[in-house]
Amino acid sequence: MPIRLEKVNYTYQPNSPFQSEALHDIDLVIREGDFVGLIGHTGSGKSTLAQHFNGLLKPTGGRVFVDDWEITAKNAPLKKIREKVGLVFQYPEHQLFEDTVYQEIAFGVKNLGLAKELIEKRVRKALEMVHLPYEDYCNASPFALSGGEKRRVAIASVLAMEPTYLILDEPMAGLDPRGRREIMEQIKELHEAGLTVILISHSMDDVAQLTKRLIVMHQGRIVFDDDTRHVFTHYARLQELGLDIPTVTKLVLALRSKGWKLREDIFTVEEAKEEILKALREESKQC
Amino acid sequence: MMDRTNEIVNVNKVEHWYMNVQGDNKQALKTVDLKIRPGEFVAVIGHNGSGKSTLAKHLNAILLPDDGAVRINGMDTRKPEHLWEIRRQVGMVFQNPDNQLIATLVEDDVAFGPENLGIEPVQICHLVNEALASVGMNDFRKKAPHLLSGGQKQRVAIAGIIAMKPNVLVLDEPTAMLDPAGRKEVLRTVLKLNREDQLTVVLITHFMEEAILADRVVVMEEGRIVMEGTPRQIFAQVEKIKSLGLDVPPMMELRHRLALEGVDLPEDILTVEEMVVALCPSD
Repeated sequence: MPIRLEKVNYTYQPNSPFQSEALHDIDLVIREGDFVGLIGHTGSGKSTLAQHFNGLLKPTGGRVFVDDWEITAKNAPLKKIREKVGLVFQYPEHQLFEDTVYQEIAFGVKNLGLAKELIEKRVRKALEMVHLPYEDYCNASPFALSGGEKRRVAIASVLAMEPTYLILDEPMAGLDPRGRREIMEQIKELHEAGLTVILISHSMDDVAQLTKRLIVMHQGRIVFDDDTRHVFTHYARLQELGLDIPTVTKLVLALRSKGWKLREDIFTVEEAKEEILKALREESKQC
Repeated sequence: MMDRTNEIVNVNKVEHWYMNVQGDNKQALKTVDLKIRPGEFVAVIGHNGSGKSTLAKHLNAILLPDDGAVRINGMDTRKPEHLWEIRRQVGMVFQNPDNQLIATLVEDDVAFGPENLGIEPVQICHLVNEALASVGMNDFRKKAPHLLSGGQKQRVAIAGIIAMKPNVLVLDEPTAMLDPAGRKEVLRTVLKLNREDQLTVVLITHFMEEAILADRVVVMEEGRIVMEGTPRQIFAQVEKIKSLGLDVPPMMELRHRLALEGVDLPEDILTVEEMVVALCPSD
């Protein structure tokens, strides 16, 4: 069952001098199993949009459905909806507050009214999913962990709710290269394990490597919603929107302008290597 | 005795210990030697916990060495009588822009440092003007800092340091929390201060595309400096950089992979432009 947005509008502080329109007529369907990148300049509306997926914000116009529930309906089961749609905020480790990792992850689950054994089972499973061994971490203070570990604990606390959809807002921001790679691997695995993932990011390189579908936002509107590979072929438009294209794509474009016969939808180093080798072998370059 | 050397920063065999949350003694810096010349731009890279920030905090006496010495323009950071002068000469910008701005107006924030130095109000005005101009934030002087973008906040933080007429600017991951546009803004500012105003810059970063702009890259691992050289020398060692858990700039990575396939290219390609030239030699 999908998340469906129909003509969604959102205005911050309506009818005041500070009124500003953040979302404009958004139509969007996220299907189960999707791996979607959501990208855009700061202020493009991507985080505002994400907060509509689990009813943290309600549209000032239009309708939002999660499965068959309408978020905007009077008696919408918001608790159920938020169980289904897990949202990991930016810098989620800033929200850690419990004494132990166990309590931290159990916090949300306890509110579901589950039996003690079931809570423990969920905490174990969630820690397993983020590759933190239960025995080593359950009694540790979340504040004694490294930045990457803290972030994984924060993600685990959302996973323990067993969501169908997982939204991550800039999950790699502020981590060192090793931490970034770990979290990226993690997200890939979670998607492979069956979660529907929506990844909000500034980094074109990251969404290029991870996602299958890419939504590009600009000034509260969806500019592109297409296969990730396909979106990157609109490099001129993307640069106009202040978005960077992957470095490798820049190289490919520069070489094409010099007459190299290369595919234009290339954005990883490995793909570029293959294409350049092919071109060199065929000696089809005309520099 | 003053050191008669021309280094502005002289880190000599510095050891630093700290107690972690479990109460164990850990060594954060192990025999670190680093000399920085006036006007140099040094990037420090290394993964989390490698000792980069600990080293940075030694440069203006926020932390003091347990053994060895740090000298700024010949002044030993362990001598309390040098403290004020060292803090004026070496300014620091941190990761989170929201943690370093304290005043309600941009210009007041920039004036905070010089005020504490006891400078005449007229002179402060002048210093604030100059500092805001040098980071391109003059139009925002009457704005409230919390209404600025992340990149703008970091530039104001830098201006607050520039107003104290420092010799060295130390930046500890100043762009980690910024979006790509903000990152570019801050970097452009840092480059300008270094290249046009000859300010010495020490930049700690996780972004290799920032490190390649430096004159010299210092790589840290487990409290030691393990590599040091120009960006080209450092990043040409693709396997070693990767084994340290760091990223290699994409063009260096591509050159490396092409070389493994037998394509012969110069070892020190850093940028897209250089790669294009290398692949199209007839141009």
